[in-house]
Amino acid sequence: MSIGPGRVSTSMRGCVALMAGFMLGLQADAFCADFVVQVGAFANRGNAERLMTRLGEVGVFNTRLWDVGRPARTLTTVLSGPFSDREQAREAQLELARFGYSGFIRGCSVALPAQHYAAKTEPESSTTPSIAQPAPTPQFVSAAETVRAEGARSEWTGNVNLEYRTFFHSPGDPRQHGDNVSLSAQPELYYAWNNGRDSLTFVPFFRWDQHDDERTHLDIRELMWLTARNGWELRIGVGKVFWGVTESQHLVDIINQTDLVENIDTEEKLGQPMLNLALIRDWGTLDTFVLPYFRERTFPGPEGRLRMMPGVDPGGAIYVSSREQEHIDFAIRWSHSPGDWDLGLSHFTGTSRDPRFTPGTREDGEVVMFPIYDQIDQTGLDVQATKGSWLWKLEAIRRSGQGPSFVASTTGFEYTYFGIFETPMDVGLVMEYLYDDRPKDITAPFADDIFAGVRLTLNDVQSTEALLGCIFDMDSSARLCNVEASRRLSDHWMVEFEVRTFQELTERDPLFSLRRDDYAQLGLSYHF
Amino acid sequence: MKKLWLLLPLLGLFPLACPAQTAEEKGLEIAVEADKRDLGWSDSTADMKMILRNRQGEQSERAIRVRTLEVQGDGDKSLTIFDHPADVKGTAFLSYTHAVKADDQWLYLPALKRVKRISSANKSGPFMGSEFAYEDISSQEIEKYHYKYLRDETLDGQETFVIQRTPQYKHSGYTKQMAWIDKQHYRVLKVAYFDRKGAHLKTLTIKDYKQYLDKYWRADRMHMANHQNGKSTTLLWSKHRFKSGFSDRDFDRNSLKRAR
Repeated sequence: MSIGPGRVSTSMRGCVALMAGFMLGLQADAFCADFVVQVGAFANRGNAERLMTRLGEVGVFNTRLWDVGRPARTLTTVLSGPFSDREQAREAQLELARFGYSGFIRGCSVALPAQHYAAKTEPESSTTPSIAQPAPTPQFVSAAETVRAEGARSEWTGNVNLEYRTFFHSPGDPRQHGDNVSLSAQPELYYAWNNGRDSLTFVPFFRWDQHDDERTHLDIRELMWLTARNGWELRIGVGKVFWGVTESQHLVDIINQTDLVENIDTEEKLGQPMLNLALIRDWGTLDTFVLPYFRERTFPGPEGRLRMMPGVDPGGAIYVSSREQEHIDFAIRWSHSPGDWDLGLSHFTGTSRDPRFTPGTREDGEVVMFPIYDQIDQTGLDVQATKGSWLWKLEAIRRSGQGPSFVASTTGFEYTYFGIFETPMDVGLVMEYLYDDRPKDITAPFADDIFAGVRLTLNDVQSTEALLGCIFDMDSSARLCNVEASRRLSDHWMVEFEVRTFQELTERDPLFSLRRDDYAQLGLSYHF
Repeated sequence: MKKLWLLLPLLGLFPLACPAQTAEEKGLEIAVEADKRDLGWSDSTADMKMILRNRQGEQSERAIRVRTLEVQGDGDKSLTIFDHPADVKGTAFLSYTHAVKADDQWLYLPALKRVKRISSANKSGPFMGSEFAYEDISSQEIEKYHYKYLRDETLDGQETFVIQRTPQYKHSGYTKQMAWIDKQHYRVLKVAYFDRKGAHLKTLTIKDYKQYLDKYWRADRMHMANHQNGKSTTLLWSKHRFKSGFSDRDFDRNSLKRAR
């Protein structure tokens, strides 16, 4: 006996009220006006739950359990759906079949009397994994009981990257090399349940470097449990947080330590252990952070390029706090987006992510730089106003505890000319002023500088993009320039190109040791 | 009863003060009716597969998931999650559309964990390298256009109104659009787009409409052909669902960061 959509629809109305408050916050009529694929029916609810879990493992998440029968003799059905029409239900049925699960399509027949239901089920019962004796009279379980049927889903993604770097000049230290090959991998495992409101994310990172032993490293970028509810979100674990709006430098961003061996642009970060509670209200989001463990900055080893000279010995780190890496840091941030403004106000108290340096002699007699991690207080403000094609940006910080208190800021704009010359291409102009009232040194290299850049977005099928920019020192003729470009080769492959040059650096410049480290880099990455 | 007497002269005058309906009034009336018939769906989710074809017939694919919150009296809010190609996986896009003023748009970049407010002045720009511009796929509010009824026409056996829409918002890539709307259900079946020079640029054909919740029509197939560059894009929609119980909270910057 087949189930015709016409026959089932007459019974749909009946279950509307009964299903009110249905799990997933799904409104009842949305479910009942639809079709479902019944994958199984069990006398033992545990078996039904196990089937649902197995379905989740193969990527079928839209499943739910539905009980029929008297409390003593409940029959639990595993339903996939709802689907708006029979055709979609059939597609889902075929997909289930591909995973080895046979199911059959029905309307919202949970409202049918059990005899009716059984009569409809029986002829196709051979397709279900297990069929129990149907109960003689229908009775619906409460909505609360079905809540545990909410679907879970997991995802396995990531990327592998191969890069080749060639330097334009011979190295300043004979231990360094003229070119370099490196390979990195960053897989990502994501598991969500409770309809995505709870999730677990695991992102390990590994890099192998041909010459630099410090750059060959392993890190846990993320190992985070997140639970989100209507007015709050809680994150516990290791993760990454970004704050800020500007492009040339990120002053306000302070939660994570920089993984400097990755890229001198300081945008790569190490995973930070944290407990983060976000309160989400009409007046904005208030994030509070407890940061129980400090991560030391990574520095290139003796054979690595793009480093200070003498090189930094990360093993000899000096801490102002006697608790060293175990000092517990705190941060709080309010952020809000009224109209076309984005605002953020933050405060951090704890171990400075930016070290100062002191020269010293290591046991083996080599002169090295030791990083000093101070205890600081930093207040940060970030503002963006989005006015048509103009983005106006400001980031400012005030930091105390690292020498005399100081103020630093980045102020600027980005203007985008969309569809230039009647082509789909966008051209963006970025200009920012970098200010720091500390005397210029390696911890504050951009005290009075201007960044000017051009961003090209081709808006083509390959998503070709390029950013060309230079930071000009206003007090000398020194300039740092870079080009970053990327283009998709296929569904999984991307090619990336990068050039950085350090020009006209005088002996007084804090970045003087980089003067011979101009390089070009070609990267090939595979995304899965 | 006295009050009704006061109304009588007004009723008598009305036909005199309101001569035959103009083409503009009829055009607006059709747009208002179409809008009215699609009110009350609260929220929706759907999956979309995009097939891009160039002049040589080479294809590439995109996959996204979209969830939308109906906003009464303003444009809708939407959250778009990118699934394919693999390099954009995890990127998410949040948009608050507005009838007349500029939309609010944020982009989440998963590699940097950065939420970036972006300019919405790119209305005429291509969406994910396709032949659909942002303005073609964003929420269609009545106030966005001036309307004019052109004629009746039979399109593939269906009786339609043909109306002209003139964009009233800034940064549109079009001088005008012609839309074919079926008389029975007020669904858009076809749109012709005319570029800034007034030349016919693209034609959108919308097929396989299905009705949901006994009221709302959604198409499974949209085909955009660009007549000037020979490229085309097909959107295949599936898994339309309505009234999942979403709220503003599911369309804020926090949910953008969590979107997977």
